[in-house]
Amino acid sequence: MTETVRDPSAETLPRPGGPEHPEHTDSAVSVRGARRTFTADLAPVRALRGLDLDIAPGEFVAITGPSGCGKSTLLNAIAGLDRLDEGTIEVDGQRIDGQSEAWLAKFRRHHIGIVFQFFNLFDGVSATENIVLPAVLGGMKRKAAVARAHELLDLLGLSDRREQVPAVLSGGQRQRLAIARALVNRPTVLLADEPTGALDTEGGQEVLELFRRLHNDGQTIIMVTHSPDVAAGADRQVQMRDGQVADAAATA
Amino acid sequence: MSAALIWLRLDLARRWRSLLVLTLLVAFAGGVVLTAFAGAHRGDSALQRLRDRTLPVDALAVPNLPGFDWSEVDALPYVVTSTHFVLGADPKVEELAAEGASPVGVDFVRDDDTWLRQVERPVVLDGRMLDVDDPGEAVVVGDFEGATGYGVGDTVHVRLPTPQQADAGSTDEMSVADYRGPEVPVRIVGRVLNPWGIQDGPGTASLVLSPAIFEHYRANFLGAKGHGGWENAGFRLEHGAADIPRLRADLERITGKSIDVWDYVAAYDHLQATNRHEAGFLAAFGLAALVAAVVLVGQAIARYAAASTTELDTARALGMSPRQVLAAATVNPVVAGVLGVAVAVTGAAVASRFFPIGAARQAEPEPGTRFDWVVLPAGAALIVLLVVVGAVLSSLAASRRRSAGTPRVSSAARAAANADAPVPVVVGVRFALERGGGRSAVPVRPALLGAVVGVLGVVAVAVLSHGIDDAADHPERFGQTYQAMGFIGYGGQDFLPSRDLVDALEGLPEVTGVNDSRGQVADLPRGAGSIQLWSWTPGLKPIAPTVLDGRMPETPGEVALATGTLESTGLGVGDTVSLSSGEEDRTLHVVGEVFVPTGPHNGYDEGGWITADGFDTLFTDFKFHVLHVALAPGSRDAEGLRRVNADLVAADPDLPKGTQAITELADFDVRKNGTVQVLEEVRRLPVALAAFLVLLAVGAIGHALATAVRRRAVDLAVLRALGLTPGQSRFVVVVQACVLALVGLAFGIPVGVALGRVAWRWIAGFTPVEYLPPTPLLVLLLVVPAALVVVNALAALPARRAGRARVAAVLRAE
Repeated sequence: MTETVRDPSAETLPRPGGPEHPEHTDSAVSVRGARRTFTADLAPVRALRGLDLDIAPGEFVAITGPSGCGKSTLLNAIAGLDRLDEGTIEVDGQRIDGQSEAWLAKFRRHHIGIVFQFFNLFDGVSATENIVLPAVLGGMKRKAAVARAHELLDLLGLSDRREQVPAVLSGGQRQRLAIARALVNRPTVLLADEPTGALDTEGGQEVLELFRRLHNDGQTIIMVTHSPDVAAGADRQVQMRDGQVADAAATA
Repeated sequence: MSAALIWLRLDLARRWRSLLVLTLLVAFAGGVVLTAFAGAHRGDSALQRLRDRTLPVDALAVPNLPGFDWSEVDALPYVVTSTHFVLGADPKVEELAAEGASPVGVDFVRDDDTWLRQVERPVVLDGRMLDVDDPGEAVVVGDFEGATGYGVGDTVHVRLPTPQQADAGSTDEMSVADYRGPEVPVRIVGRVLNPWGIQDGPGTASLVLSPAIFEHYRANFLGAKGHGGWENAGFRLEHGAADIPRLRADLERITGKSIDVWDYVAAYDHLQATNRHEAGFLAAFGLAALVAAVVLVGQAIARYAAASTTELDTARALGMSPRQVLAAATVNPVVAGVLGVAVAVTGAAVASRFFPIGAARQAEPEPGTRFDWVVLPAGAALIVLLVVVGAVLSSLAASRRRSAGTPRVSSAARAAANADAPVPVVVGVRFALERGGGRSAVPVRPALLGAVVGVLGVVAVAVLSHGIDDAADHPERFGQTYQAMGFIGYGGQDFLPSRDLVDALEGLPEVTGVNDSRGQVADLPRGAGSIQLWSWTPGLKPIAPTVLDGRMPETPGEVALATGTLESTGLGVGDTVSLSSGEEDRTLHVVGEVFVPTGPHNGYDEGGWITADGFDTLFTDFKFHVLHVALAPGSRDAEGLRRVNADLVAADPDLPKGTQAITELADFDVRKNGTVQVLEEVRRLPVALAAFLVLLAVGAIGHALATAVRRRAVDLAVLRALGLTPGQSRFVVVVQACVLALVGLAFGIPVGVALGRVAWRWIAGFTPVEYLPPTPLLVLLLVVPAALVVVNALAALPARRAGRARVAAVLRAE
């Protein structure tokens, strides 16, 4: 238990199971009193208003709620992509609020996997390379990264698409590729922002099935979704309203 | 059309900055191109326009016979006009005494006003023409005021010798103070121009006195007995140069002697050819600028039209026809193009005051701002047409590109990835070399091309400048491989013992080369003119003549001809040439292309070298006898010359004490007559082109870097989400910039060196000057860090933006 994790200048690469905060909880993710206001179209938007949330390791949580309730802001804050105005966030026992951008970037490499609604894959780059890139970024040697990419592509049913570019894949295949990319560094938490939002029903089901399989293997997943059907696939649903948790219910 | 106008109005309101930039780009690039072509046209036509207006002399006959009666020659049926000029005592200007004579001096005095009215009738550039009846008036030719400080409205004082001094001759060697004759105040009433006044090249200027001064002071010019000088004559002939052989034959018949007749049609044609080469160089500059502009500015136009076409998809869904989409997408860049061209034409007209450049500038009869009604309207129409075609084709291409295929993957990026390069390096290489797809697509070719063109321009100019600097600093490039001369004989008579002098000179340590040069004029066959031949006498310490091709003559049957003579006669190394001295005819083998010593009647590129034995078989005597002496570096000044003369007398007891055999330090003739000045002026063109290309390159690279960060903001944000640090994000842009620079250097340096050498070889060919491949090592070494510094400076702001991007905001917007 040291304070080095909070030192923005610390070059130590944050690792799963690394130094823990004195107020460490057993949660995979712990959010306390999170407040975040930002400006959109010249008007202040109070996205998070003192939100508290705990997510246990291996849990599959769906965060639902109407547009503008703060779902994506919460997800971004957990990923360290957005900063809280007030409150604390712990991921895998490490406080990430108040850390430098560089520290957060290195933290994300090993603790956070992100899946976007519109895939955000790299155009013109093969499926393998899309996965290899974050793996190398995470410190893996290229050879090992390629092997890991192939392993994930096989696992996600894309073994025959290794050298194809995203543009020629179907929506479901693209999202599976994005999930493979998010998993390449074995993250503590997989964050998914409307992962089925850009997919048809079949594609959405493919992704949901995949999440279930990952969850069964012990992957912690936090998924933001509008769809009650998709949310129903999670262990627990967290209903957000006006920047706060309105309700939480187990679904599985 | 109304749909297009509505779109124009909408775009003007929201994208007026882009349209303004587009307008300025077209204006800048178009202005450079139009200025270059208009300048080339003006330079090419300058001398011809001057010749059309000034009745230039066709031939000059120089019998140099005191008291010769020209009436029979003047009456020849093919002589349209004849005019006489006086070669006698030199009038001297007191105010110019300090400046020395050449290149500023007093032109030949005319004995009547024919020269200024019916032959070489000058164009008045400033003030007015002199009064031919007033001995107190004069005009100036060339930049007399710049050279002397005396211009139109000023008065100078002309001193003449007494008739007795004129009779005694040798007034050349007298100073103003030695003259005891009258002092005539002469007012400069105008600055004029005629082909005669510019024949010696740029940088020369002279004072042209009224013929009345000769009428008033005839005895002071020709002496009391009329033996102190003579009159030679200029002619305009019925059939121009074609009548010169007849004139030469008639002069020989009338005088009983072979008389030099100089072909001024050929001389002016030679000037014209030089101007044409320079104009060609300027046109090539314009063409290079046009190509660069079409590629680089064209990309901006294409990008604008293509982006509009994509945006207009919505309008198409609302019912806009494909034709309306095309019109709407192209109208804005076309309007920007038309406005840009208008600015470009105005700019070119304003810039015309700086043209022509080079040797043609001195021949321009209408200096100052001039609207070129041939080039500017046609060029403007062409540029507008290019803009329209570019915009239409880009819009059509964008319409068809909706189902675009797989974006290209660069092998360099793949190689970087395979080499386990850090992610920012891989991504940076990809950003630099791959267009990408979808909304994040960024054309990379303009930036790559810009980088290559920018480096190429700088390197090519450096190579060319290196060649020009080398020529300007080395008289031997122009054949002047000697530093001193001794004039030891004239008209077959030696003043000093040449053999003794050569032996003594060869024994002096400070003398590195001597040539016993006898000069005489030989006629080419079929009245094709005459050439000056010099005897080549390599001894213990030969000078090293400049040989451009082949070798120096070794036997009496061989001759090495100067490059200009080869060009004018159509001969080449390996050919034979028949030469005649009047008494003897010889057929000689041309064994070399060379430069020769400049003489009173020849430039360094006119004439030839022949062996001493060959000289003796062709000629019975010499016209000039000169010792050309090469000195060791420490002796190439007046003090060195004094030491050489002292050592010479000490080395040869037979030489009279105090003999000054080596009297003249060789002027760097090409500097004196402005050839180097012309080269340095010509250099401005490629420097301007390089600046133009560098500006375009900076624009293209800067735009590419900024656009990449903007359009690929999502990619960068995703990378950040995957763990890329802000510093690594900045490094991505730095790598992208460095890759652009390295590509530019890899292709730009070799191509630039090659282009620079081609350009210098071309210029060296028409100057002429010995071509040696220039290699500016320092520039080649500096261009690498310089290019990297420039691109990194350009990358600074986009890199900062990339590092400070708010990832969540970017992804939320997505």
